[in-house]
Amino acid sequence: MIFEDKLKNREYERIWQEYCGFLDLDMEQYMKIQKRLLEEQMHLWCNCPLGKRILNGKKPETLEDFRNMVPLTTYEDYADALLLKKEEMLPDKPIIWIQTTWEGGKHPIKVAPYTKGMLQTYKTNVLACMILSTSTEKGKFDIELGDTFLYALAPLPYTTGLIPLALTDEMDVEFLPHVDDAVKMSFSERNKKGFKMGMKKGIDFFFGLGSVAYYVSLSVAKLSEGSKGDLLKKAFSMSPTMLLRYIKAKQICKKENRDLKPKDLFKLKGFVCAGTDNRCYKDDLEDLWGVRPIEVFSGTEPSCIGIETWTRNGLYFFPDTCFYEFIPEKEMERNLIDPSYKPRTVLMDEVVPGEVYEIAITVLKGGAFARYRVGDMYRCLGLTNREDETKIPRFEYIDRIPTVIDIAGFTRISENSISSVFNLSGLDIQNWVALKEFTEDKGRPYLHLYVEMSPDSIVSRAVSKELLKEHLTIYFKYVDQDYNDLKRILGMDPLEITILRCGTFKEYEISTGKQLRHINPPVHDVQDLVRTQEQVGRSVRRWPLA
Amino acid sequence: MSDYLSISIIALYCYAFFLMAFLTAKRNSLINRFIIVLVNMVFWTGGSLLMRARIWPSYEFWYHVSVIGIWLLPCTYFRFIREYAGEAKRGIDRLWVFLLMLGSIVNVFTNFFLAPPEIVRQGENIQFVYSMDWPVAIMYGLCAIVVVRIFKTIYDVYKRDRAKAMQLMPLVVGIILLFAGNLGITIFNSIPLDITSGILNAVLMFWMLYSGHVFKLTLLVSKGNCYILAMGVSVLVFFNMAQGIDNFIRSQMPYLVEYSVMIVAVLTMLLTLTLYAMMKALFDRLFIQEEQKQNEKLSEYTMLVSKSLEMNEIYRALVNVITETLHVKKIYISVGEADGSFRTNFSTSPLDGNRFFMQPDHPLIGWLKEGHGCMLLNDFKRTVEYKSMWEDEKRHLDGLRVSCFLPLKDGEELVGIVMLSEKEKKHKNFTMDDLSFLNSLESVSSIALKNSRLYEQAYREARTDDLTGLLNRKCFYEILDETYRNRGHNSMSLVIFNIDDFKLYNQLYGNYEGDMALCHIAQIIKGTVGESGSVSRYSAKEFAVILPGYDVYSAQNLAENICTQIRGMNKKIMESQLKTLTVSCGICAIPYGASSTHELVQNADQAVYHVKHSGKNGIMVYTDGIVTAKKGLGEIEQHKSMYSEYASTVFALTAAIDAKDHYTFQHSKNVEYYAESLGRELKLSEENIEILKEAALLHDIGKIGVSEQILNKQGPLTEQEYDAMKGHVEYSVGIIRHLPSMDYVIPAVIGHHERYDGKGYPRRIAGKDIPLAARILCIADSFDAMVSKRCYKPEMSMDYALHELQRGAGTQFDPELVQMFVSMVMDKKITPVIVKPSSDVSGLSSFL
Repeated sequence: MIFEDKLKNREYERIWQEYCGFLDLDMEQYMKIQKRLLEEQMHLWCNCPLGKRILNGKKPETLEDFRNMVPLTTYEDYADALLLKKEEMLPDKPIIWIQTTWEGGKHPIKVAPYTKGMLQTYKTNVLACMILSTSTEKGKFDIELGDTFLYALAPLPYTTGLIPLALTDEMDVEFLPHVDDAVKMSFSERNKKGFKMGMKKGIDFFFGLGSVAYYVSLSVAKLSEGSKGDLLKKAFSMSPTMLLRYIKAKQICKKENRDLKPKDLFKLKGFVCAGTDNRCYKDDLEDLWGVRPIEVFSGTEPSCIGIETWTRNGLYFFPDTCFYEFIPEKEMERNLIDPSYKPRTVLMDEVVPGEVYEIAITVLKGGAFARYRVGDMYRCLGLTNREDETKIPRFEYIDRIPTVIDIAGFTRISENSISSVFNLSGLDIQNWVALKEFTEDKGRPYLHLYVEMSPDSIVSRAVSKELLKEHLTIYFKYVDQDYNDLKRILGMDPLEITILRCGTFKEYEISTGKQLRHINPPVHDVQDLVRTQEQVGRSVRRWPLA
Repeated sequence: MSDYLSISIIALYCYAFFLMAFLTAKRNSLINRFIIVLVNMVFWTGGSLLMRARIWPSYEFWYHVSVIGIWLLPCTYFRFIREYAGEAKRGIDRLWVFLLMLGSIVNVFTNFFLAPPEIVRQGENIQFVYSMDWPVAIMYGLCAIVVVRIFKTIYDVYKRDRAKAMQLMPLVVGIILLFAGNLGITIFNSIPLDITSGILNAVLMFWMLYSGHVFKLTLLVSKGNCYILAMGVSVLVFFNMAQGIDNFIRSQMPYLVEYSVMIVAVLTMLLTLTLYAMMKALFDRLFIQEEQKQNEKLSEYTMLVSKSLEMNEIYRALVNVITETLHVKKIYISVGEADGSFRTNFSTSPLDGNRFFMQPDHPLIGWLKEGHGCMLLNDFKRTVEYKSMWEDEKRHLDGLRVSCFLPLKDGEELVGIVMLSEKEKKHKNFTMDDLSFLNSLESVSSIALKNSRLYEQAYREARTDDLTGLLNRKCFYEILDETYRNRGHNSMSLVIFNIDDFKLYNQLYGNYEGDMALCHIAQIIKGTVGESGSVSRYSAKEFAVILPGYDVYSAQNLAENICTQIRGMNKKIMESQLKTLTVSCGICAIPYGASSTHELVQNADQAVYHVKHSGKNGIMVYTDGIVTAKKGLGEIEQHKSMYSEYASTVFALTAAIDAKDHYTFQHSKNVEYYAESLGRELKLSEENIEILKEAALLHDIGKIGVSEQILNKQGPLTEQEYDAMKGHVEYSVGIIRHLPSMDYVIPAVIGHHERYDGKGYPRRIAGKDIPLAARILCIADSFDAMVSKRCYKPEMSMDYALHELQRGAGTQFDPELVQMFVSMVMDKKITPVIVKPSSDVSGLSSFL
């Protein structure tokens, strides 16, 4: 029986139980599901050629063995088998391959296999997200057949492209515009068409990447304005209800002396956002739509793994999608300094509230990844929650791991990519650090590069801040397609440059005895670095007197 | 009731009935426009009726309603016919519409064009007398203009498509009648000629609808409901008319008064039945029956698949037509493979997974082959064949929730199986009609699928390389030209990968391993390039990658990535140790290094050539005549590193041969010395001299496999013994091939007993076909053999040995090399090494 049949049969309680029942689990029950499914996956994975290769002759018998014998992995460990789509090496036959960008330049893409079992779980999880996005309290939700979706996520082969397929397989919903048409349109065409259709039919759900959703929301507001002729034309194309709503909205806006917002026109039942940096956009999105978006965590390798509830106060991991391990922040830091160090992991029943963790997953149900470092950081918010009536840990998504800078869910800027940019640009940058920072006004993310030019280059070349910014932006766009998309899709220009005085890094090293890592070093260390410039200045001033 | 009223009621009834029928249909713009025509008709006839009945609020009000209906009628007709003709809107036409609307409004308030009729009483009868003046001509003039536009439009259609225009004929006649009827008001004042013409028009309209050419309506509500409603209206109308008929009989036929009730009842019943029959006929003709709908879908599908040769398009069309017509949620299409098995190739959702597989002996295949047509799973379960189903096979079918199978056949051959899941709940089970529809689909689909499969196969074979599945050379040039044409002002790059020493690889491991390596390399290149470019097998051991939009830097990055993967590909195979394959890669890009596709290919080839001549295993970029080197490891370093990697093995092998036959060990050292000297005189590169030295040391390593008795036999060898001795060359190769990274010495080792005249062994190749290193080794080997003392022969003098070499120049030896060697010995550039046999092995360490 598919979701639509259950909905038609009005089995609301059973639907809630089936899709959101995991929220009622206690820790013991949750871990029982986790361990039992890992046992199944361990058998599949350890006996497939890919698993055997990573295990290098070892044969784990128990879950403890598995955690001891399987090293923490990254995509490089799977690249040769997965990029060539060697199905015979995998634990189970994939039904579909999902793709994402990997690293600009040498590795344009990475792919992940999705098996039948994984897809079935994915469907259930997406429906759970849909249910929870409409819920205002436990057990209550508002989904009807024929609900309309505005959709601001990438189509297949990206993981988000699975959502429409999963939903249409389970129930009658309408995407604005239809998915088949949407893939043929440009981003702005899709928005316009979606909005136009929304004006006729109304919008019930909005799924989007936080940053993209924000951009789309602004353009929706803009699209609803226009010349009088356009408005007349628009009015004729609207349904009577929408027309009434439009007239009313215009009156309210006139009275309140403000621009039209999507919330004036549409009453969303559910608003789901995914990706990084969502917290920078959530307030604005709530203001625009009148509904606070519910955050879902979904990725190419792990699939859809976590969702918030009606309280919007932390996300819960689905127990049957992946086996979760958490690397405590200190362990991760130690591993960053010494890559040979094997960091310790804790399980879901060992996490401590307030602690920050890097997540490592083993994809269940025939997935390829085992003890895989996704590259994301979470903070445990609590082990129980009275509001949600839950007895399992809930988390808050922090960001990517420190060695990667992700801007608005689009880019994965690494030390390698910045080095490539510097090399290509031909700029004589002697030392640098890159920090992800947020604007003071709206808290939008940007990449802040602190660079020290070589003394020779500043006398022989023009190296003003603006020039450097322009120059480096061009090469960032060249090296990283996603960076290019930031500008193309969101109109963002997320690069900020601070030129440090020559000799600053050296002076910093001498005075503190520390060597800063290039990507996301601790903020206070960077502040110290900036302050060190003054010391350089003092030492230079003293020099002629010496 | 007056006759006028009756006429008006009949007309109103006709139009109201048509309107109701159209309102219950699924709309499109043509239907919407026709509805507006009908609404106008209703305004006109309804207004007229209510005016004559002098219903509240006033007869003037209903007069205006009626007149608006009349005057706007031409416009609505025009809009309908224009839509039917598919004619574009023109500004001037809007003017007539606007003027007619304006005139109607003005008339409502001023009665300027046509004032309401005056009521004249003639005894009991009431007449409506119109007083006309010239202004009315303006409105009718405008109407006439629009009518002319209508005729013009119909005439245009007639010129384009006679049959289409003829379908409008009843409507045209109706319009003429209407126009004439309205003009008739002026001539036969007080007689509702307009309405009478309206009735005639309704009859004609009925005929047009009945003929069923202009409209195809899809009923949105159930047909039964329409009948009930239509019957209700009929009863209502005839209930009113019964009084009139009764009055008529009483006044005009008093002799029938006593039968009046009977007559009225019979007439009412007959007229009702007639009307019902007519309605039914109209409904049946006007609305597309389910069957007709299916036929139409089938014909659309037939048209589509007959035009297409793409299998996926046909699959999609087949799935769509079944889903839309039979409301089946899931459909899977399995197509027969060459071995008789069936594999699911297509399904309604990509998430279903196309993994369903039926072996050739699957009972279902057998059953469908026997020609049972479309079949339900439940029927199949009751067959004897079902008894042989494995539990696993049953579970698979149940897992898919299949409930119906449609075999696709070409003659007797089963080409595919369409599996249909259960129907959506409200549509219940499969009916006989459904199965017959599916059977109709079968014949069309089978042929289309077979044709498309043959076409795709031929297309694939014409474009792809059999072994690797990549595009072939012919297709490479097509795509290259196409990419060049479409590139606009963007750059494009061409990367050519040429596998190094692939012939040797084939010799070492056989053609099967060679093919496997080609496939693996193809897979690596294809997997890395992905959708960014087109990969083709450019020649036997060359692959070309066309990269639209790539500049040199990006192409080079990609090439480096691919080269690294190829170098590492054999390291990952645990079971056997294969030689490391490397590639020589050439890159050229437009506009940086070429301005035409011809130049692009030529320059990329030249870059490959340069890599080959600079020691292979590297990447070079052609830019404006200058080839920029971007190599991997330096060749000499590479050989050194490989040699050191295998040094211990070589040591072990040499120690073994030394223990068995000390002469061979010393002899190898001597040959190394002579070969190196000759190599240096030939000014060979350091890298080649390294190879030569290693080949010299290992050239007789195969003697480890020859019995000591033969090796140390005093006196001449028998034929059998000589054959065994000759085998040492093959043994050497057999040993060296297990040192994959030292295989580069094989050509020299395998050829050192070949003769210049082609009478040597093992391959009997001649002249310059024998590798240079082998020709050098041959001289060095023979010279040392002659000047050394062996247990079965004393040492020969140097002069004798040189003489023998000269004697064999051109037959056994390369004459040029012999000449050079002899000169070197004479000039003391080479000092013969004379070492007497000894069992001491201390010399081993000196060369390692």
